[in-house]
Amino acid sequence: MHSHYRVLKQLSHQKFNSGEKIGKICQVTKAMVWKSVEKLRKLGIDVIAVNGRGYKLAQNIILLDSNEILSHIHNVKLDCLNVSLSETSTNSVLLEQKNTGQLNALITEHQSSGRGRRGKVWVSPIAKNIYMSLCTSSEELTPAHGSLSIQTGLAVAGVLKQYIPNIQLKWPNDLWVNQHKIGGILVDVKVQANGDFKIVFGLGLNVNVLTALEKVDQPWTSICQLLGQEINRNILAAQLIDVCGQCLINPSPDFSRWDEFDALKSSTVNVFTASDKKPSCFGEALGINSLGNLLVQVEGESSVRELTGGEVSIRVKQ
Amino acid sequence: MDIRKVKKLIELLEESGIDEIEISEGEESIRISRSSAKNQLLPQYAPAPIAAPLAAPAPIAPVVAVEAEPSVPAGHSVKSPMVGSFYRAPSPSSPSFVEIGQTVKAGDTVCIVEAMKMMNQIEADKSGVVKAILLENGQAVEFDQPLIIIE
Repeated sequence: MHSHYRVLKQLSHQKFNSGEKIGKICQVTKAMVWKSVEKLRKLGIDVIAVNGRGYKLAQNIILLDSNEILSHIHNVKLDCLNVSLSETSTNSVLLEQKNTGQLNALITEHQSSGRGRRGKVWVSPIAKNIYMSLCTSSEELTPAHGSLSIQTGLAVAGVLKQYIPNIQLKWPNDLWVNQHKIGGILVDVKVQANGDFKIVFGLGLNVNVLTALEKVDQPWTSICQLLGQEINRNILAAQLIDVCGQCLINPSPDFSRWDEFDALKSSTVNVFTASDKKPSCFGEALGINSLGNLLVQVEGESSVRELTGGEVSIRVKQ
Repeated sequence: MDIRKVKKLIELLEESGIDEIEISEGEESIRISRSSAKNQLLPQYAPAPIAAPLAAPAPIAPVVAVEAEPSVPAGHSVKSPMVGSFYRAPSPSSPSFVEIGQTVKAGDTVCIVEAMKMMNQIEADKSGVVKAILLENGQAVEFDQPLIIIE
């Protein structure tokens, strides 16, 4: 994948570059350049190849750039930032990686098995969006870690608000605009061999994708769709690493801004726990408590339920 | 309502972790609750905190645990590191991480506990054979609650 990514970086939208020239810069053979072009096409990049002239991109592509990302990170110190062409899932990769530093980041142009909660697919077209994961380790899981997905959701929403004033959070941390999903967060935790907990935060965010995402089973949008212009993914990624990295290193359950972003406030919601198809109950959403649990006044119950898990959806009036 | 049926219901309630049960049959209905009995048994816990609905089960838990103990098979229990929901598989369509009778190695993922989209992959902290899986998919778990028994 590394050599394919190097080849992609040498492809231009403006002019043709010969396979020989690209191979020389990337230190691979001409045949390898052709192999890379085939791989890039499979990943969704439109490469024009003309005999005797070489290769050219059909559309202009602005790639992620680790130096540009690093130059815009101001508040956290990363032990490692990896920018790659494609991963299975950035969360899965960091979860399996031997963790050395306090804060590692992985950001990729494409995911072949991007995933959300409970194995749901996160559609990850190439060179359009942000798919990134941050990873840290902790000797223990404190109560503050328990609400990390709420804290990071608030952090991401805070950054996105600069671009999209009506950004909302659907508990626990779906990023929503007018009931269209623009991003999702997944936090994975695993015990390491030394007994420490590895905590991996993952974010998928629709940034510059415009065309129909096949296989997406719910209404979606992107920043570009909403603003009508492309966004510099490197600056945005840096802003997100800054705030989410702080949440991971120093988790603190400050939910004072929840109300500002709460997409479910006063809505009637269906609650799904055991089954993803049949709701177990429904009731009015009343915000979150100090642990980040969703408060639901379930129909026919006198006390308010505090949800720690499961999925909720806004109930459509019949 | 048949008194034997009522007796059976009381037994059912005692065997389960349920605090209250209400059954309706035609125009008849019966509600059996055991919370008052518990408060009598455990007067020291009677002044339950006001945030009762969810906080209350905690003091009662030891009693339930004592009753339930014989039904939990002996062996090493893998416990939950946090409050959340229990899942046996990474997704509804994929096979369970482990089945009863399966041999696991220390470090194998045996289940997931989710709290607010934080997915905690629970690993076996001991090699052995899975003797019991104590919860159903989607069921709520408490901190330190045994999830799976390995022997």
